[in-house]
Amino acid sequence: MATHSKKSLIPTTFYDQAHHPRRGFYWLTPVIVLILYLCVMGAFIWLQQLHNDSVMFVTIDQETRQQRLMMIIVALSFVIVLNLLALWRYTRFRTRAEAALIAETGFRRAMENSMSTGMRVFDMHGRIAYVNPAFCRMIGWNEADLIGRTAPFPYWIPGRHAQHRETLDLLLSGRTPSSGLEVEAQRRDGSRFTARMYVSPLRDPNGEQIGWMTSMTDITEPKRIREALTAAHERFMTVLEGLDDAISVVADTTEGLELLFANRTYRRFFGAQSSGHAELLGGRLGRFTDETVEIYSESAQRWFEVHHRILAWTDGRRVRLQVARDITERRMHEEASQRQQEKVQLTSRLTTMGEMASSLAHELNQPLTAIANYNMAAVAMLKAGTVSNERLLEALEKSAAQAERAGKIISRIREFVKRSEPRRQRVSVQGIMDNAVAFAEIDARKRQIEIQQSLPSPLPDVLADPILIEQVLLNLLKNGVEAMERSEYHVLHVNVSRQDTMLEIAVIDRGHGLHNPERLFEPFYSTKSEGLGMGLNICRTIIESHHGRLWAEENPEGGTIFRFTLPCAPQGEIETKEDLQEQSA
Amino acid sequence: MTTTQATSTIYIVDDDEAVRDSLRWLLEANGYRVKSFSGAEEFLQAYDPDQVGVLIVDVRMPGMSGLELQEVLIARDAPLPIVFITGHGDVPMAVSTMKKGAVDFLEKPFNEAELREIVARMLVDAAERVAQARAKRNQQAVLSRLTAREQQVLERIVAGRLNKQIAGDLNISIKTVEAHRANIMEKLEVTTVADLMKIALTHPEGAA
Repeated sequence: MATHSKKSLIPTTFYDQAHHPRRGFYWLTPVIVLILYLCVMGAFIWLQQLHNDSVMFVTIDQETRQQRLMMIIVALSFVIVLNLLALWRYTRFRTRAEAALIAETGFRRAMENSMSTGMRVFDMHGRIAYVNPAFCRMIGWNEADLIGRTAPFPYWIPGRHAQHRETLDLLLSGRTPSSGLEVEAQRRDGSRFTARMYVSPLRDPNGEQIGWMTSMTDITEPKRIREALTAAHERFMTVLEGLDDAISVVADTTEGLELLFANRTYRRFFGAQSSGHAELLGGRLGRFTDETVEIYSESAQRWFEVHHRILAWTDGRRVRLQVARDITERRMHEEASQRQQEKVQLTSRLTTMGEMASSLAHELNQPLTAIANYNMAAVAMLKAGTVSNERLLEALEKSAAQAERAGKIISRIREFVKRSEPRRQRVSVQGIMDNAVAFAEIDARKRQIEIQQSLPSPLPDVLADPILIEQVLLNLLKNGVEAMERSEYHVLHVNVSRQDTMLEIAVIDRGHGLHNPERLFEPFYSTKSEGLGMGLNICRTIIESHHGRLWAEENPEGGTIFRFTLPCAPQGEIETKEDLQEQSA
Repeated sequence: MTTTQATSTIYIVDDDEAVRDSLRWLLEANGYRVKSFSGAEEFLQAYDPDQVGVLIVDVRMPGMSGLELQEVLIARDAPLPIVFITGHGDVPMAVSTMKKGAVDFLEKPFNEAELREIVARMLVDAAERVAQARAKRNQQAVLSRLTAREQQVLERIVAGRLNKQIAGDLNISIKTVEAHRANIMEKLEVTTVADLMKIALTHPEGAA
């Protein structure tokens, strides 16, 4: 007690006492005292014998004997005093040790009481040998209710005894994991809690196991928080996994992209690799904007609408988030509706043409009917012989007037047609080709036909109305593609060549071919079940109005070749005199 | 033939003056009497159902079309066969007009022989229809001349009741019934009960 510092509340005397260096020699004191006592007693007996018997060599007188006795008594007293001193020291040591022990025990008790971990000791037979107050507080039972109890214990949850017994058996067999067990227990008031329990063998100072020490911590609240977190995470994952969008997160590393997260849709399309992400980046590594891009994935064979974003990942790294939506269906619909739109436009144009033709027919029918009527009337009158010259003349004059009316109608049609004459300008053939081929390829791709262009270089400009020529070329390309639908060849050639001042464009198909290609240009002649037979006729009219020619010939390799020519634009001049005149007209 | 030609009229309704006029010439050269109109409304004002006639009308006209004119004539119960002039006859229209009793179509430009044949046929038909209409109108007039008592008796004869029963119904003597009956027969110019029934049944409204 004397040695411990006043500042520290934790007693250290016990420790100090235990390590006292003189501890080992306390047995010496009584031994020395005993030896001394024996010596003194031996001397005394010896002296007694001297008194009785005569000494062989020396005669000892009474005086000397008295003197020696005194010496023995003095020596004996000295030994007794020495002994008392040793005893006093020993007692003092014992007292100090006891005080240290009490302090230590008190400290341990205080520690036990203030500990929040519930401690419990089982003996080797599964009987509770010790519980600490924290354990009692935790389960609500008193120490007295627990000590000495065997299974089933009062804190077991009714109806789940089998499970508890299993845990107990595991505990007693010493196979509990070092990471501890999660156990559930019921308090005295019926409420339940979850605890984490660690088990360690309890050994006596000799190292022999005398029981099992368990320590328990109430983890109900942490567990509830953890479960709530897990549930939230699960909900989040369910949503992410259930999304139809492919979501992936990658980080840039020196070895390329590392896939940090991918939802189910992504894995379904690309597997658990970052290659899909890289593919959908479309080479835009490092550039991130909020714009949406549409990208075709070769590996998934689908179209995606892709969003990118940079995120700070959970570990603080800068990572790329990608959200890709499968828009293949939508694109297909769009393409289909675009084709539909084109078809509708074409049909409506044809319907307008048909309506115009029908109204023209009606218009012309009127004067023709009248002419026929007047003439038939004149004939009838002549036959009957009842006619006067004046009346006959009147009929003929009326007939002539109607013929004039018919003529006027026809010149009106001419006028109308003239107004839609081509507006010729200097244009690049390349532009015309690109537009027409792009349109035709929509159809061609469906039939797996490739359109191959071969153009001379340099390519001269032509004088033409680009819209009309595009229509002609598109018409020829479509015909070619349709003709090759069942052919074993899959390439439709478009060759452009310069012939003096004209440029010739040839569309060469390897389709079914025709016996008499020239018939195609007759109006209302068609080889198609749905055709009107006007297409090529109109095409030829367009080309001829451009001072060119359009004709068809048999392809010696099988199929048909359509050729048309257009005048090249003169070098250096933007517009010719002729064009200026035409445009001002 | 010549008699029908002389007493009958061909009505032409067409908005196109040249067609109308030339058709008039053609028909007149063939000896028909022709009246031409530029519109359906104008024709309806001038039309006399008592005249035997044939209507030649253009399907397409501004204002009332040929088809609408047909509807009006059917509603008026006019005994007038109709020939439609079409530029290009279309089947659904032809079927619907035929069902309504239109008789024929003429396609522009006309074939003279066909025109004459159709017109002649239509005129015969028209004469018949006019005669029928006239007879019908006469009988109707006669029926309306019967006294109230005579009409009551006729009603019961048509209903198939015997003289004795009629007498009981009307609270008169059998002799009086017989006298009324004789008067009715005389007024309607019939000799048999069967004829009487025929007239009475074709004009239920007159007998009622």
